[in-house]
Amino acid sequence: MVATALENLRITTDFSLRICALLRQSGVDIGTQQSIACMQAILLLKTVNERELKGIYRTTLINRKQDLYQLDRAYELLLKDYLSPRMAFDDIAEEEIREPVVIKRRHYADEDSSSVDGEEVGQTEGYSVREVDHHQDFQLIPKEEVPAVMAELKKIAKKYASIARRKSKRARRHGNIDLRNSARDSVKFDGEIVNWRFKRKRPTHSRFVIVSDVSGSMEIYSIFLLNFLYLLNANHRMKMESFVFSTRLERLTKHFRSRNFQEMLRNVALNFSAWSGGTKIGAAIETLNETYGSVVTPKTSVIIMSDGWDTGDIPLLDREMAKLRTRAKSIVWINPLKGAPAYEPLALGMATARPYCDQFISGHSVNSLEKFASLLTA
Amino acid sequence: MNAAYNEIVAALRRYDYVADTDIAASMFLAEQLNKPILIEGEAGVGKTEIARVLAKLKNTELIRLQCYEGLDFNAALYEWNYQKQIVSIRLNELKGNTDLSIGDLYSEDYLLHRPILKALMANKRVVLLLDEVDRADEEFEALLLETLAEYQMTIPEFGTIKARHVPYIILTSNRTRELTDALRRRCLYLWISYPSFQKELEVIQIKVPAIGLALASQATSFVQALRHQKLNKVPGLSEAIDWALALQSTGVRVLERDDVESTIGCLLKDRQDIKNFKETMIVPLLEKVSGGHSA
Repeated sequence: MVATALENLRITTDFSLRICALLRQSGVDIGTQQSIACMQAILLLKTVNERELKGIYRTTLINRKQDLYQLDRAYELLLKDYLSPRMAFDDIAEEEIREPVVIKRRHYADEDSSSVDGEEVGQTEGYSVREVDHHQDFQLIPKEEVPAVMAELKKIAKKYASIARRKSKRARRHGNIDLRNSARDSVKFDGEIVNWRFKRKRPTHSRFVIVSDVSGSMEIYSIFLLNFLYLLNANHRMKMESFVFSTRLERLTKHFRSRNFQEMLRNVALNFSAWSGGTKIGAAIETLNETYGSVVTPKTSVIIMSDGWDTGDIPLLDREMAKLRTRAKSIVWINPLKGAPAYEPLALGMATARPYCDQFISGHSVNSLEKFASLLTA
Repeated sequence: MNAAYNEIVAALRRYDYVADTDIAASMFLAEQLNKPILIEGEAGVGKTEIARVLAKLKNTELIRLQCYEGLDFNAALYEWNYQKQIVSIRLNELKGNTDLSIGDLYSEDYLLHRPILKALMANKRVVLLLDEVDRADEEFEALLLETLAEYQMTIPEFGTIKARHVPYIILTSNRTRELTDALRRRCLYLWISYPSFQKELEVIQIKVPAIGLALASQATSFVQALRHQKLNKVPGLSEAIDWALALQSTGVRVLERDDVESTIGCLLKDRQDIKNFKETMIVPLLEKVSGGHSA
């Protein structure tokens, strides 16, 4: 029992402050307001038992369901330290710092600096981006041309981003009368309303869920695909949720909103440990269906980027694709291998998933990605 | 359990709401710390019901704002009554009145109160329910921040309106979209999961008093077991209540296959689920329920 008597209040508040610090280190977002609320709550109740204390933490410190697990973990960890005999507080503090910071993945930029450099393409002198072959397979692009290709992708992404934005213009000649604007407009006619202004609800945009394969077999393509996704994400109206998977699935939407591509890669690398591993598409789709089920609605288009080489459970893939099919508006599969002239979807995973897809397109060149983007904004 | 919590649980129980410690704790803290509650949870576990019960408990009005995509401040916060403004200007013109000033036109008389403003201007502490916030656009959340943190609203032409009585604010979300951190940070958080067997049984007995204990516990364990199956739409507590009501009103005494099949529409709302249920799930589930009961 942590604190049952009044004199233990000091220990309780001390414990709470430590748990705040520990949670912040494990990546839970706790503002000062929240820790103040937590302290107020403890003072208010005066005596709390363990269950109530946990309840207070749950309501005041945590603000999303996913973090509840972190709370339990931090609580156990800290409690163990408090209960273990003759442990000085300094030791605990040290332990805290050591424990939760786990860097799961090497620095990505070190490995593939050439493609990361793509952001600074503007400084490449005397180079015409016009020369980029739109139909060349990414696999065959020489290293020194990568920045130019990236710049081309940026242009395309920008183009489609702006199209989507233009679609959502509000004021038209139809719809409801906009009294506020009409009144404002009447000022120039001395308060006489000459022209009625109208307004109409914004057209709803369909949401996109992008599931991208970053397993070993897709490594060459995934860097281009990720960049393209990142650029498309810059258009906030597209309401895009992004996931990556190899042996497991991770939601990385937040990181796709990083300031630049390099930072995004670093964040993705830090948060996704199964980079360049094997592929378990079935398990990944299952996670999408179950853990992130609320992301897929009947308005959602799911875009899967993978070559379909599956090392996992094929019946599972079949089942999960069927489930996804019933829930999503459409499923688009982007397979870079489709660009190969003699390609038939022979990979077992691909053959299984193919019937559930509305569109099956290649993503191996600038041109094919442009086609994909036009599909998105159509 | 803390006395304050006990009181709330008992009070809620009087209004037919079965609460656990977490619910009591967040209601208690919300009142004491003057903070809004953000309630998340699966569909049909009684998120909205909390607001309704709270209003009854405090004997006050429930002001409800159902959020939807495209909801803007004109529909949620306030709007100027343009028709009235124009008519006043015209009337004053006709009468030859010259003492009508701009300030008069942008005064409280010409302000249309939408739910949030209404809650701030109310003469007592009301309950303001912002239902399914996740359906509204992200921009709309930003509009809420001032009200949630300061209990006030700034109208550029008019000034800042402070709440006369700080309302109880309850926000619910079904997690179709991740809410922003700014909004979450200003609220107390409450996650409601599917109820335990004990709680569900209690709720069913309260809501369907005519149902016998035997049938109620059979139905409850059936629903509990059903939730562990792979379903597209898992039935919530409200579906369980509907189903219990259906069973009771059709005069069922003991769960039989025919009864379950004819009333399953109350529990499962998906064609594929019902098909799977009738083909594979129903027999083992019924065996489990009746077996567990006799043992």
